[in-house]
Amino acid sequence: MEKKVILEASHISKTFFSSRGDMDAIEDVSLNVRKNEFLVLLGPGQCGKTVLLNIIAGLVNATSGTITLDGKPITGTNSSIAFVFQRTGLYEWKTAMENVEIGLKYKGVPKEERRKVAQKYLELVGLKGFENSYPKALSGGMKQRVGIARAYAANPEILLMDEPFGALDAQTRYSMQEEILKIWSQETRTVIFVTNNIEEAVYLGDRIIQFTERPARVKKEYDLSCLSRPRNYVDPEFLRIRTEISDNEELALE
Amino acid sequence: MKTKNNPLMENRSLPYKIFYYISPCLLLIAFLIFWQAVAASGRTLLPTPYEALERLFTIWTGTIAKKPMIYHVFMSVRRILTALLISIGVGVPFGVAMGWNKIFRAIFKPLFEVIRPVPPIAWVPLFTLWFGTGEGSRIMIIIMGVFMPIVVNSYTGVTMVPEINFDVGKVFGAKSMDMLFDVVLPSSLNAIFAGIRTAVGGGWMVVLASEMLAARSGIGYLIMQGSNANDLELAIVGMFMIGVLGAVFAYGFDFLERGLCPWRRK
Ligand SMILES: Nc1ncnc2c1ncn2[C@@H]1O[C@H](COP(=O)(O)OP(=O)(O)OP(=O)(O)O)[C@@H](O)[C@H]1O
Ligand SMILES: [Mg+2]
Repeated sequence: MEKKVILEASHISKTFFSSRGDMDAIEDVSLNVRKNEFLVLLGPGQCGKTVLLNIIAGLVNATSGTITLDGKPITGTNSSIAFVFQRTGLYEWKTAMENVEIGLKYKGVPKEERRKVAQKYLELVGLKGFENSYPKALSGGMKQRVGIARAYAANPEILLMDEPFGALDAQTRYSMQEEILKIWSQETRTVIFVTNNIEEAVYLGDRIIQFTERPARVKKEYDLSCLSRPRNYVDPEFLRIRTEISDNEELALE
Repeated sequence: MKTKNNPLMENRSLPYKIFYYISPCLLLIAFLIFWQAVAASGRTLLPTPYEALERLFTIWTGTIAKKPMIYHVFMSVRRILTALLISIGVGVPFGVAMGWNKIFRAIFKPLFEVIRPVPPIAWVPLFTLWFGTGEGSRIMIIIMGVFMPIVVNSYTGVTMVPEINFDVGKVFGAKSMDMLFDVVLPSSLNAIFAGIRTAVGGGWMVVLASEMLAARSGIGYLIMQGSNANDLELAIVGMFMIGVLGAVFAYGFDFLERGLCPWRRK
């Protein structure tokens, strides 16, 4: 299933310069993202995953290297790329509905039309009845759902998801994993999903790209197309891949 | 945000709770007894609490300096409200512009930092020279007192907007004006209101001072009258009115803030 490459990062490096010394966050990362795949970027905490997503989103400039989207280099933020932020980044002064609408609002879509679209995605993430709630009144899992609906409603080609379930309890996390796959199969888009959780990576990914400790370098790539969906956390093949990845991770600690 | 239950009250024994609610009343009673004792001793001009209270009721029927009491209250309220409205109308956009635009900040911040430490009352000679001794001059002095906290808080509010809010805006395509009105302003409303609250508190001080200096009306004038005519009851009634109006203003602006910021309601 060789699919078309939609986004290509080549030789991305990022160094933060400061008076207390320079800090390499990312070192020579090259990767391809294929259309409509679920790509997981797996890396240990603080290795530079968020920085890499910020570069792809056009929020941060790489020190060197280029990112191309459909063959064109990315210079700033771009309506083809939406972001589900690690700490939700919901606007607390807006209701769930108004948060989901912002992508369309800033594009100038008339109110009635964007209401309809936002309503559709709020329902898709299971938040019917919470349209008028403010983020403060929502649980952690519900906030991330709003964040996911907001990203989808902007109608991007690529969705970046930065550890969206990282702050959730185990139970909620499992159900959200299942749900994100359901949404992905209904609303086919390219997803780049960041996590530091190996089990989550194996459950979700078509492909996993594993990163080293900081500075992040590509360590290994795993093709999981052999694992059929829906996947089972205790399936022998699932467990084998999981162990293989975690063995690789541990090597880094030595 | 208020919690539903008073946290001090949780897991407390009943005697503690009784003490917690009774002690302020006891203090007030002790204060009144002390006041009564001093007044009754006859060695000062201090009226008794009862006399002061009686005056608080009868004062509304008489006149002071040929004007009814309500006129004096109205004049003070009008002065502070005029100054507040002008300062909010000019100060909030000014502070936001200073936080939002680097060039604007570079031009006005130094000037502002120089003017800021000057106490409002210090402007009296200049304003009297420029605007005379009338109402305009008084309002200008009050503005000098309330304008600063409003500008400073609006400015700080804008500079403290979390970076993530800008990132979200950029990712979802916010243009410059979207960013200002849809992101920066609502993010800083909290700080802006904090500035207004500070301004109201400081504003009453300046109103009083300006009325004590040169005015024929207002609560500050009443207090000065009380002092000049050895009518301490009048001065005490004036002090009491300031307390009441201060509380009314504080509640009023809280109410306004809750109306403008529905997301912060419980
Ligand atoms: N703007 C910045 N300036 C300086 N250093 C930064 C900046 N942004 C990130 N860093 C540093 O880069 C490193 C990588 O950060 P990043 O947030 O990408 O890690 P991460 O892999 O997303 O971690 P986590 O799993 O905890 O989310 C960290 O040490 C961080 O302190
Ligand atoms: Mg991160």
